[in-house]
Amino acid sequence: MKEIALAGNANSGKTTLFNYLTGANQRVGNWPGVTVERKAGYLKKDKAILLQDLPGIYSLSPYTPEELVTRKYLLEKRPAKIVDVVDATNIERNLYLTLQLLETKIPLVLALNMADLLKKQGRRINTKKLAYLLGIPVIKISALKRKNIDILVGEIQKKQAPPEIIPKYDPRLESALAQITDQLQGIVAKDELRFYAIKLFERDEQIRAELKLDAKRRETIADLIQTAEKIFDDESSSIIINARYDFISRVMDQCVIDEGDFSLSISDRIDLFVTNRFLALPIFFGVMWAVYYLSIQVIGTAGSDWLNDVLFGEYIPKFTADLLSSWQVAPFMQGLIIDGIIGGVGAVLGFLPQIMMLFLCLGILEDCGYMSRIAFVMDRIFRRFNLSGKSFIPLLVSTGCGVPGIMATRTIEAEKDRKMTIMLTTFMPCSAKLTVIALIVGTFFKGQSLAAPAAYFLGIIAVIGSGIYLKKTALFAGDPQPFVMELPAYHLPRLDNIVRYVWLKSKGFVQKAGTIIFASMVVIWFLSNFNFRLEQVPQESSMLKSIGSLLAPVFVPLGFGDWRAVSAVLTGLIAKENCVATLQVAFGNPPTQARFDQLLTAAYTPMAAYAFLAFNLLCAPCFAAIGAMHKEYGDASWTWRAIGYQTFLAYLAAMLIYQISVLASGDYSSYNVILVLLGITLIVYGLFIKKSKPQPLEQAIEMRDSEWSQR
Amino acid sequence: MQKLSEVMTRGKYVVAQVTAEHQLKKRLSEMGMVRGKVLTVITQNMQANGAMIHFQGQRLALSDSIASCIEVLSVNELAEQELKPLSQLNLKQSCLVAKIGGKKELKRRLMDMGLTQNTLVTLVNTAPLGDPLEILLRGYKLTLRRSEAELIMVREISI
Repeated sequence: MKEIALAGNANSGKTTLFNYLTGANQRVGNWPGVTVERKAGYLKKDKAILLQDLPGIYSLSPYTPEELVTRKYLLEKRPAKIVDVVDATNIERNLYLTLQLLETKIPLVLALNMADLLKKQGRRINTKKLAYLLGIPVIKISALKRKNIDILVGEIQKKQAPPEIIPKYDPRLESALAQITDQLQGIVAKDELRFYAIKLFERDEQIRAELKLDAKRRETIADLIQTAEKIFDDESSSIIINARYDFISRVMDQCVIDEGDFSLSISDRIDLFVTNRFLALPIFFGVMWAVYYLSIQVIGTAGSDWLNDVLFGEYIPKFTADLLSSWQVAPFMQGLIIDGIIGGVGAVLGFLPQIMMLFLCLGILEDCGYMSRIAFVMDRIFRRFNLSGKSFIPLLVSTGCGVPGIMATRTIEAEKDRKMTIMLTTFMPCSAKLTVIALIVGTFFKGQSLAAPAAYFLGIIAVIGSGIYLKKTALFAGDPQPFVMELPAYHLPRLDNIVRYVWLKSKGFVQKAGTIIFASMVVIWFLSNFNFRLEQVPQESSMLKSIGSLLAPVFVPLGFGDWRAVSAVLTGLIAKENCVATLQVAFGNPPTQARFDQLLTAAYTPMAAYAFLAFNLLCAPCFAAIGAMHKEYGDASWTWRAIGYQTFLAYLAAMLIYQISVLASGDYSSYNVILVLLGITLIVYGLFIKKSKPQPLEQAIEMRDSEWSQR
Repeated sequence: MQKLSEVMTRGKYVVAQVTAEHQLKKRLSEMGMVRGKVLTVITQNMQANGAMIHFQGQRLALSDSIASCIEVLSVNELAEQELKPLSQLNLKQSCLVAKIGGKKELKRRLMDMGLTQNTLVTLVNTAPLGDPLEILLRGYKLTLRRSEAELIMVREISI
């Protein structure tokens, strides 16, 4: 079996190509950094070839975690061949990585992707010349439009010798490299000599540690580098970078022809509006409002009402009841199936239209290229709250599901920013929490177009407030980290991509309802219909009531110290959809939505319900997301810290929402006043009064040192 | 800015603009003679005899008529100009990168992205609150914060 790696710049279309070549369904999008983990799949046409889809990188110098993953893989596994996916519309910068890949001496095929867009750009690329100058096969393809893929597959299958021609740089640089190579003879494999020589010349710490050269060689090499630096009057890594870009300029001059000068492309014209100084923010808020209002309150609700009332309210229960009676199934079993399973799972599945609509909107946003504009527009604002614009992408992805949202934090280079974003990203309501929003808003705040978006703004406020507070703690103290990001060109969203995205997400949602929620509902139904002596009893004297009542006092200040709501919160840890399903079962599975609404409004005041919503939005996420957090932190204490902070904040926010509403109603006691004052004091202290911890001393010194070495 | 045909001192020049009719302009751009490229004048265009230049590793002789279509800026004159940080550029203004300061990793990253010496950079946009900046270089768009742009020292050029 042969292993072939797909490498290339971020957002050059590797995963689109990978999906097509292997028939896989990996997530794609038009923003840099969609793929964060290596993924493997067999070639559809030739099962003997294993294709590895690597995260997008700009360079083989280890700057971000993804670059480290890719470099480690290429050096240690040495795949049989690399397919370098190059964005033809941005060939100059993409070739920079190509040159570095050539240095590894692994056989290379250059796939010139997005070749269909060149014409619009007024650019021609002579692939034959390019292939000749680089000494590797070059194939123009379009992964999106599936053009020339067969030729590429043929080239992948071919046996290929390692690249013969190595880009020759400035003779003075070459002579330094040759002398370093001499020092490495016999230490590294012959094919890898040049790669290691260049890395040593760049003073790559990791490579230097890995090679373990003896002191004499180290000294000789250090001398060589210093001499070269004197000759060029520049730093060694800059010399290499300049040499590579000079080489690329020469290649470009010979094979790339631009017809006419730079003119405004459609993308640029869109950007004139979308990132305009005055319009950018209103457009952003407009888009966000449209996405969530549309998916939750307009189209979603219509579909959900039908599903809840007609399908899961009448047809299925009635049909099942008839069927079960005719089979003479025991009544308690009928109760389990109809009230427990159909009621609970149905309550969740009823939100399928809303989920589909949400993922449709998110899919379009991710595919068209607006995501990185959001990061651009929001960076200044987010920095004020000690986050970077890049933190916004995970937050937005989290409105679909927290797990990929947490994983998307990997594109954030700065360690502290990444840790903080992981902690904050699940404050954004995910599609599962959407079911809770839809239930509460649909029941208590009918016809108020701001109620659902307010839940999202609550998430954003929690993120912002936490950013300000957490940065003051010793955990996150420090200077802001750099922000360098590419803005990809817009393209029209591809219908098949979006359809696949919506389909996969909806399938996942239904599967979850059929497995985790199904199992939870069996347990909840059992707990809510039996007492501890295992006798079937009404809900009012069930085990669930006893358990819920145990914890209920804790939630009294939040307005929902009621065993049903408390059980919903607890089961929500398994999956947030359980909140809705548990309420449905705990209220005895009311036959229609209207009846359920009545029961709910009788049990809770609207603001208590909103406090319930707020608590569930902000508190510890579901187990799946906690698992993802643990994986990204790689550390249990950080995970506990995050969960603890989230739950504390959720409690504080929910309490304030409820208690302030009590104050506003005019009917309050000193107890309410104390709680409100306490909550507000805590927030004011955290946000405004608490002094920021100074940066730890060693780090400050380290930074001063590195600045010093620049002079 | 002056025409290449009117250049009277040898040295390095940056192409500011090519003002030929369509066919010739296309031909010149195919040779790589486009805005932002650097050329060296070897022999000046005396008595309209044409100029000899060194351009991308090759010597080229240009007739007086072609040389007058190419407008250039003297690099030497630019070099006398004071360096200023990229963050102080006006919108739509272009510049050549001179040097990059700051921490080693950041400098490395910026150079990896193509911000090397004498690269033509244009400030195309800023975010709503004036930060971050959106710049155009090497045919693609990059965003970076004002604090990073402050580390990039440039020479303004009016092309």
